[in-house]
Amino acid sequence: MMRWSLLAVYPIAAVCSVWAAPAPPEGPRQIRLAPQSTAKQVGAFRYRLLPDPRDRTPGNAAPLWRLASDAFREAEHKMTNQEWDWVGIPLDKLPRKEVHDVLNRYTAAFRLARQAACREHCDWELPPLTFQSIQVYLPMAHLQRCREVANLLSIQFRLQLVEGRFDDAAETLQTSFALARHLCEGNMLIEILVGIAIDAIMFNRVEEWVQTSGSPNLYWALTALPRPLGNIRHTVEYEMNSLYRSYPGLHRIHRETLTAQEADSLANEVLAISVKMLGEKAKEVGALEKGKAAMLQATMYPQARKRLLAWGRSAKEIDAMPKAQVILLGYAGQWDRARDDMYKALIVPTWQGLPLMEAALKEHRSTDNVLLTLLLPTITKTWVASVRNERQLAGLRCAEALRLYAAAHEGKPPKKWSDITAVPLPIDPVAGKGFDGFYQVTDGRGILEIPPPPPLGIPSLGRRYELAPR
Amino acid sequence: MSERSEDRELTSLASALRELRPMPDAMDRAVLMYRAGRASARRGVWVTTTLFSSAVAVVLGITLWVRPAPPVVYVAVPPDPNASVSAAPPPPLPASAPERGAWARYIHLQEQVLLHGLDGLPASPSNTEEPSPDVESLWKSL
Repeated sequence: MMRWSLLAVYPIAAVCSVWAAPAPPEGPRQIRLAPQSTAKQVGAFRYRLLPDPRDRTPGNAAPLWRLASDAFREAEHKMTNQEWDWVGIPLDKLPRKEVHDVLNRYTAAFRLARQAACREHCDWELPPLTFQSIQVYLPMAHLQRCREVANLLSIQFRLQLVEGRFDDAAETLQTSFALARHLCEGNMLIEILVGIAIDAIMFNRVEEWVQTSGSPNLYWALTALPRPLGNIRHTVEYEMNSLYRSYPGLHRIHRETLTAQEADSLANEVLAISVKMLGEKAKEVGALEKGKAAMLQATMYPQARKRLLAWGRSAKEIDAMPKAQVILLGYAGQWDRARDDMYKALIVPTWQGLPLMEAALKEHRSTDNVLLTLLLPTITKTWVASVRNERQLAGLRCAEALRLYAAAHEGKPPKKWSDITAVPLPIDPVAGKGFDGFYQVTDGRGILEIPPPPPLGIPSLGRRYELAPR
Repeated sequence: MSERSEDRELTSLASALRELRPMPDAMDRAVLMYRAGRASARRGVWVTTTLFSSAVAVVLGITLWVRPAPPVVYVAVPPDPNASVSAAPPPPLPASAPERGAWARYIHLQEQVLLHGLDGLPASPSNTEEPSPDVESLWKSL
């Protein structure tokens, strides 16, 4: 009987252990800083993360990026999943010979990518973004192609790094950061998002660089990267103005009083196309379809009138307009106010913009304007992703400042953060303050532990840079 | 003489003793302790405990097996660019789904890139030219 009891206990214990097993501890990423190159570096900008201005050539980079992607896709070799895994496997497990063999098949793609990176500007020459033209853009083939090129460059960099070919690795970083920059020159939010994603990948490559013994210091190269990394201000304005590009007639409603027929016609066009563009999402929310019907019954009018009064228009002025124009003014006014509130958050430093962005999202996401409810969270998240990159960049500058100090002090870390005086110490873009509070010396090791950025505060986004004495 | 006689007796006794074979204990100590413990135990408690434990184990096992997947909560966790590229298959983009509006698909694509980074972009088919916008659609979009 006892044996039966024990047999019964084991499965219970097993089941309970499955449920009660604690999640693996998740903390900041550990980055062990390696001693930098002992060779005297000629010039602060011996290494750069964007092509040297002397190497730049006039012209548009976009056609060359497309050609680079074509060269990749038309190569006889097709990358297998196992080969793509070279992007992420530990550096010491990279099968160098195999990687060499594979990358040699893509020399044309690399050459064209380098030429593209050196071009002075990038214009993807896409038609203006409107609710009607978005159909033409999808599925964003030019962005899909950039994905492949970026991953290929990432593999090339890793091979060069493990082989100690730092000049080549730096050039690959230049090409990659240039691709990200060229995407960030686009008008659309999706382009900047892909640019941000490529920047993030390349910052991870730089983290590998600073952990490689003998790697040259990149403090000034990192500092020279243009800030902000992506022009979110322009993109958000552009995207939020899609409403006016889509319905040019809306410009008139702000300037003049339309006839009832003109106003009805414009209102029908706006609502009809919006419903069509949203498709299923509009049906899910049901607001616009209901809105159209409601508008015909003039039930939207009181709400729009109330809004306009709250925004400062006089009752006399409102009552002189056709009801459809009042509804349209209320609709467009929601867009304008949301755009302006978002923009406020983008034009001030991050630590001041964060509460503004949160307030803007809180105020406008509960609107009955379905297009806005879809767009605003994406804008906010894009901004957060951009801030995250800025923070990672600042952290890497700190890491390189630490390595510089150690190189000048027999490999020893500074006792306190302010002991680093050879270079300007970075400012935390999230807090607007220095990183002094995050630095400490433990067991002779200098440790800079930067907590994850708000608002998500995901532990794995934190960084722990550690400099052991030589 | 008498000594020789005693020696003979001793010898015969010794040989008689040699003839004896060791016999096992009539009482096994281990068996005795087991039976004593068994006799002192309250059988009902063990039976109940065993049945109850077994039932709990079976129920938990079945629950674990058939329980529905936990609700997916999307958090904009940035992708780990070090992760395997192929490990995260690009999420399907319903490019041709007629029921989904173009703008909604565009927003969906943005969300995918936010969630999965570059892997959020749908893979372009190799050796296939991307569908370039036709002149008419470009003209209409202007």
